[in-house]
Amino acid sequence: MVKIKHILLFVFLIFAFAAKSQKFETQLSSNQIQVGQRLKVSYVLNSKGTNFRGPKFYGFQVLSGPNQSTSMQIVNGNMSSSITYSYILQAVKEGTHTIKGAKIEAEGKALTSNDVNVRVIKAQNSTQPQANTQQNNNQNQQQQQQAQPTNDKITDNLFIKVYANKTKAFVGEEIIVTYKVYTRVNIVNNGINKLPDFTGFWAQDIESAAQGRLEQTTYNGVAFNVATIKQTALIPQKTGKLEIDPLIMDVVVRLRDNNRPRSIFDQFFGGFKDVNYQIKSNKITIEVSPLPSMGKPKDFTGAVGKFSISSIIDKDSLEANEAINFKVTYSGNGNIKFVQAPKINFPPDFEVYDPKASEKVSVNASGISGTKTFEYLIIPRHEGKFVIPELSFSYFDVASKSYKNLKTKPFPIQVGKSNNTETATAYRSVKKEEIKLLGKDIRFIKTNQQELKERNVSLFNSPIHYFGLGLSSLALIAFMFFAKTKQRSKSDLLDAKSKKAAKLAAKKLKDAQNELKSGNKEAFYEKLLAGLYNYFSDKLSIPVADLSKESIETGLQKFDTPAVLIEETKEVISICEIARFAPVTSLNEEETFTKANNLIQNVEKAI
Amino acid sequence: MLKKLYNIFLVLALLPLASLGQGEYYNNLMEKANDLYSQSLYDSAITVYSEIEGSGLESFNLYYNKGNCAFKFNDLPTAILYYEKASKLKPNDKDLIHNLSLANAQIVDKIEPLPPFFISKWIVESAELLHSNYWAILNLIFFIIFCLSAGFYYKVSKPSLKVMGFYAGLIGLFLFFTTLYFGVKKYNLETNNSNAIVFEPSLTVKSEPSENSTELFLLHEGTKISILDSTDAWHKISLPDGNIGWIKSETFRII
Repeated sequence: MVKIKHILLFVFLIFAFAAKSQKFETQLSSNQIQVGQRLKVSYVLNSKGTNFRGPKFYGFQVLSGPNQSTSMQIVNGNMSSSITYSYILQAVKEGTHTIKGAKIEAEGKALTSNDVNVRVIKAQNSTQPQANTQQNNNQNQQQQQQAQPTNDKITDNLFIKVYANKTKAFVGEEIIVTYKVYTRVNIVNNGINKLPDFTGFWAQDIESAAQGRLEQTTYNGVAFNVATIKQTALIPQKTGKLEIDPLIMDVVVRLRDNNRPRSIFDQFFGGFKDVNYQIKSNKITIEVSPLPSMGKPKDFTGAVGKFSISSIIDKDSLEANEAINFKVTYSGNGNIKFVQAPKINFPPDFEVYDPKASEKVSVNASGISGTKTFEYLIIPRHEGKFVIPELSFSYFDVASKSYKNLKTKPFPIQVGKSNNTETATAYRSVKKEEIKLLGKDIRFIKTNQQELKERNVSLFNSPIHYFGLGLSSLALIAFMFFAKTKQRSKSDLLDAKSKKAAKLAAKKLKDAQNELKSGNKEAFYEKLLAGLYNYFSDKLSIPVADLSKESIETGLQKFDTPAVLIEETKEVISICEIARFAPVTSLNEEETFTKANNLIQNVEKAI
Repeated sequence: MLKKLYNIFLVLALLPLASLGQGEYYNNLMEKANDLYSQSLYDSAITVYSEIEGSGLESFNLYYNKGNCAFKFNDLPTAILYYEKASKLKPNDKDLIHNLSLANAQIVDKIEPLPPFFISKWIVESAELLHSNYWAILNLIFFIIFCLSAGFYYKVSKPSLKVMGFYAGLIGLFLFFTTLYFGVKKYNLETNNSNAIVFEPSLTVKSEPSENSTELFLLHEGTKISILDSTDAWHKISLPDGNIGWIKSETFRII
């Protein structure tokens, strides 16, 4: 028993030793391959391992893997086991690529295998891209010829069909395109090589559980396995005939190989070979027509589908400078992602911030649907009654092929005066450029007694004003009138006197002449002087009391009498006066008389 | 004619007498209101001022003091309205100018007035030197001087005196027309009812007298506007900066 125990211990020790020298390495079938050829990458671990994680292969396409295999060897009584994870890769790009190491956990230790470089060179002979035989090491002419008939066989039994739920659509109307693989052959592996790029469309992939699941169906009377590989919702962005590129897929097909029974095993199991095959979907053309221009509403912004609109406000009565939350929600089916923020004519005194947009859109086999919400933050700055006007939204209804208009209800808002005057003042001061006087107070009231008057009563334009003006003018006119009549009567008298003056003077002169004839010289001069005085008194309207040489002179001047005549008058009067008091013998009375006579005649002529 | 004149004289002579008792009552009210204001009881003071105003009487002090009350309440549009009313009666009062500019500095709208033509500015400033009553008295005096000069000119026969009378009359006539012109200006300024103050906290001015017309600009309470034209419910207004638009009734009060 003890012996057996020792043996067992020994065996365990060997295992323990073996476990210490764990090896995890990367092995390649070849270090240099051509584009399109295959490469087998094996990760070999010489003990048990778990949690294998393979690397990503750049420049290669994974055809299969990781495939796990275990082996056990007993060499010289030493037992060793190994696990191999292998990949079949197809070279896609030429150049030197690094096959990265894989990761594995072995007995609680994380191991990473080594990196290996591979040179991929250009394909030397033009191998058909559609089909490559599995045996890339001994690829020869014979195999190529043999591959041909199998390809023909595949074409009928493996293909991709593309379906569109409609081939005629309006701009903005959603289309759902479905790619389905029909197969009657065994597909070992597949991968999408090239996706269509949907030029002219906005595209959104539809994720669904049914994708990739095989279903039984009949096509042209033949039973097929069908799998949906891709479903996409498309929204046309431009008009015209839009072509959707084909989808290209690489498939590895396992075919029964009857031509080359190589060994007894092959014959027994029926030889299989994996054929690499590329399948292409058909092209599809969608005719996109523009939206009808007739009846297009002004506020139409491109929404197509079926929508509803709603709006809510969080409060309708508040104080100035408080915020209101205004929400507009669009929901429905169609291109809801394209719905733009509505233009709302908020009352001009509101401070409005840019809306916050949020959307919840789901894409499924029935199309695009969801909601889009725009949230506005608005702040009324002044008190008053305001109305957020109704909101109008137009869309093109696909079902009825017409434009539809939706309206929300208007919201009246009652804004009260802000109690917080400080913010209001601050707001004001922000708006004002210069407030020099802020902080000062108004001047005190006027306390002096001032006469209170009737409103809008002024002396100007009042009856008193007009009365005063009228009275003054009347007084003036009356004064002028009286003055005129008085003067007229007076001047009439004077005129008459003046006219008679010459006659009276002539009479006086006659008296004087009689005195001269009788030789009474003194009396002659006296009469002559009196005659002249009388004459001028009447003629010039000078009262007798004021008569003098000077007053006569000024009187004559008034009538613009020639200076010579005035001199003459003065001379004659002086002669008469002198001769009256001191008789001058040298004077000739006759001459004086003639002078006086001429003087009167001349004055008569002048005035 | 004479009897009519006599009646007018009688009425004019008795008018001040008749309102004397009434005037005494309101003068006392004024004093009472001023006392209330001094005790910071603006609420009661403004009620009393309004009572005096309701009687149809007015004075510069009344409007000025009421404006002060409203200002103390922070009721800027009312304060500005009454300051402007006071300004019509006595535009050059220093305290009034100070308070009005203080009130105007706190309203929202800041309007740059168009610079007036300097001559018209002089004319208005000259016209505002005197109350229209004094212009009327001066007007009468110069007319009487003219009449006397004309009479003198007519009466005297001496040429030098006549010349003197002629020039005196001419100057009198010129001054008569000058005072008449300024008097009319001042009288129009006093009785002008086309200026108003906006009382709506936020007032949208439209391009046409209709609810649906374009919104031109926004006015706020306390802004002074001129009423140019009126229909039943709408008024055409202009701002000192030359902007013109239409607003609804009951959004403003005439100064």
